[in-house]
Amino acid sequence: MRSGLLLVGLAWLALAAPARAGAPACDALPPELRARAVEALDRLHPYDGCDQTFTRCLAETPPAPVVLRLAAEVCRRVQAGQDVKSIEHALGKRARSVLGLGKKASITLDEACRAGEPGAPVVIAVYACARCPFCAVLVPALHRAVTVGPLQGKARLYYRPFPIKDHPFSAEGGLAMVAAARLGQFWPEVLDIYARFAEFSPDRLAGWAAGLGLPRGEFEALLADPATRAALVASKQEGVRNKVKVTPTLFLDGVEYVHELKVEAVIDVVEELFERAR
Amino acid sequence: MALVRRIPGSRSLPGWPLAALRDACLVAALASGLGLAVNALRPGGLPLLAEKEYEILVPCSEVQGEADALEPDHPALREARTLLLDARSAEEFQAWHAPGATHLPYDYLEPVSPGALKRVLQSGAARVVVIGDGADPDSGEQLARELAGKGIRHVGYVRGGAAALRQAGAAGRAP
Repeated sequence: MRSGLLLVGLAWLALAAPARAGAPACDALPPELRARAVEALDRLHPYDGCDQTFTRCLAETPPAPVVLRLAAEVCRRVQAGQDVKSIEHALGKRARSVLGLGKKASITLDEACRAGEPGAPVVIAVYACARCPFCAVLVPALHRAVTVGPLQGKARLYYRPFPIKDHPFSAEGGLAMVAAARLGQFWPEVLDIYARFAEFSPDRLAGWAAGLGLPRGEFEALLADPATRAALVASKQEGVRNKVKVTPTLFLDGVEYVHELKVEAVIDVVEELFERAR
Repeated sequence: MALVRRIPGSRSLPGWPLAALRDACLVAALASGLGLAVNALRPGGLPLLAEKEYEILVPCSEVQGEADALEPDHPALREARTLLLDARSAEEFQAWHAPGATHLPYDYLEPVSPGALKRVLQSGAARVVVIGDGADPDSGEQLARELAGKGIRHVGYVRGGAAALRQAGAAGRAP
C-alpha cells in the first residue's frame, strides 16, 4: 500500500515537473534535469517582477517578463550542471549588475568611440586593453551585437582604452586607437587590431591603418602627438577612478557589470535593461 | 635514497629492478583501463579527443599589491631607514620636493623599469613611502601599489600627496 502511494507520488512529480517549469529553456530540459530545475525554481526568488518563489511567480497569468527571463537563466544553469547555491550566487551578481545600488560610475561617452545607434537607450561602456586576449574576443562580439545583432537599436557601445601595463605594447595599441578616433576611424581600427591580435607589432600599426584608408602620415603624427598620449592617460585614470582593475570591465548604464563575462550573458542582461527602459 | 630496501643477509636478485618496473607498468595499465572504462560507462563522459579548441579566457589585470595610506605627519616619514620616492612629474619635483626624496615618476602606461626596481630593492630601506600628486587617482598610491605588486615589502603612500605633505610641514628628513 505504502509503496503504491509512493509510486503514484513519483509519477505525479514526473508529470508535473515540465508543466511547472514554465519557461522555454526549462521545458527543453531533458527529463533527468527537470526535477533539479523544479527544485531550483521552488527555492529561489527572482530579484524583480514578483516577490514569491519562481514557481509561484511563473504560475501568475501572465508571468512578468523579467521572471520568465530569469527563470530561463536558472534552467540554463541547471543544464550546465550548476547546483542551487551556485545559481543563487549567479542571480545575485546579475541583480547587482542590473539594479546598481551604489553610486553610478562617471564615464566619458566619446561619440568618436561609439558603436550602435545614437538613440539606443542602454549604454554599454567597456574598459579594454588592445593586448588583452579576452578583450579581443568580447569587444568584437559586443560590437556585432549592437550594430547588426540582437542589441541593434537597444544599446550603444562606448570603448574606453585601459592599457594593462603588464601586456607588452599595450600603450602602443591604445595610442593607435586614440589616433584613429581623432581621424574618425575608431572602430575599424579597434576591430582590425583585435582581428590581427596574434601578429600585433607596433611597427606594423601605421601600415595596417593605411590599409583601412587612414592617411599614414597623419596617423603617425598623431601617434607621436602628446595630446594623443594625454587622452589615453585620461582614459586610464578615469578607469582607475571607477575602480577598474581588470580588462574587460563593462558598465551598463553606469553600473559595473559583475555577472558572467560571456557575450550571451551580457546580451541577456542588456535586453533586460532595455525592457526596463521601455 | 633507495626506494626498495634489501633485507640484510638475503641474496641479491639481479632482476628486481625489472620486476619492479613491470609491476609499476601493470598497475598503471590497470588504473588507466579502469579510468577509461568508468569514463566510457558514465553519462556525460569526457571525450578522449577535444571536439573543439579550448578557449581559456580570463580577464587581464595589472599586478598590484596592498599599500598603506600614511598621514603627512606620520613618524615613518622621518625615519632614516625610510626610502622616500616622489612619483610626480619632473617639473613638479623641481618646483618642490621633500628633503631626501628620490624622483621616480609614475607612468600610467609603462611599468616601473627593472633598473628603478633594482635600485629600490638595493636601497636597504626598511620601508618605502611614495609621495604622489594627491589627485584622484593619486600617482603616489598607484606607484606604491605597483611596487608592492612587484614584491617590495612595507610600501606606503602619503595621503593627499605632496601638497598635503608640504602643508603639514612634515617635509621628510635632511637629504
